[in-house]
Amino acid sequence: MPRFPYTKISIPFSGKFLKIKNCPYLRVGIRNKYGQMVKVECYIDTGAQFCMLDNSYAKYLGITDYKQTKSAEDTLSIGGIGGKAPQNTGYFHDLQLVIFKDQHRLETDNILQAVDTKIGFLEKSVPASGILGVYGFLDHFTFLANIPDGYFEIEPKF
Amino acid sequence: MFKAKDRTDFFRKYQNMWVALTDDDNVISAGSTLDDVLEEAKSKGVENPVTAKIPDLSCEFIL
Repeated sequence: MPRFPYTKISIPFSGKFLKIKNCPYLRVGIRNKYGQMVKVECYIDTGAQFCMLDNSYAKYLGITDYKQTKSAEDTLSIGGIGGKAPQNTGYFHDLQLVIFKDQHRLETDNILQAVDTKIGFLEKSVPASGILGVYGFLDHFTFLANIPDGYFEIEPKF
Repeated sequence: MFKAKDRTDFFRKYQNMWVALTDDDNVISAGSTLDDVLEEAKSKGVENPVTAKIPDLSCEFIL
């Protein structure tokens, strides 16, 4: 099962009880049907239902107006724990999520799996370039978190 | 033994910024927008870098 390191960030002077953050960042490719791909460092969020990107990426995937979705069903109100819904809006487009075997070689001959899915562009900025959630990612891969040992594992299910 | 990757220095230095990176973690460019960092990376001869928006470290994720 491919293994990836947790990103560890020390915050010793924050005055908070949390001194080290353990963050599951994963570098992925987002590809359109013409093969154009952006490489994005995404945050794996097992509580998120969707995979989302900052809307700045849209034009690099050939999407001139990210708010123009194929149908009204592809526009969703997005909310999170700790706030009133809807906090944001996601505009979903047909794209491919590319997971690589090795985080230091994001090349087409190093693909673990590519998933055709819908990925949403967020109207409002969030503190991540991209979020990997259930639809298109966690419903296609086993995700095993081992924070005490500093890694997570991802294995394709199909 | 497989270890977590300590990226504290990187995150402190670039928090609230966009960055473009080589596959082996070298910073190519940093700036306030994705467009800026991709343009600078291109000017340095890197067409398709890894990109990331680095969060404010004082902000906690509860998504």
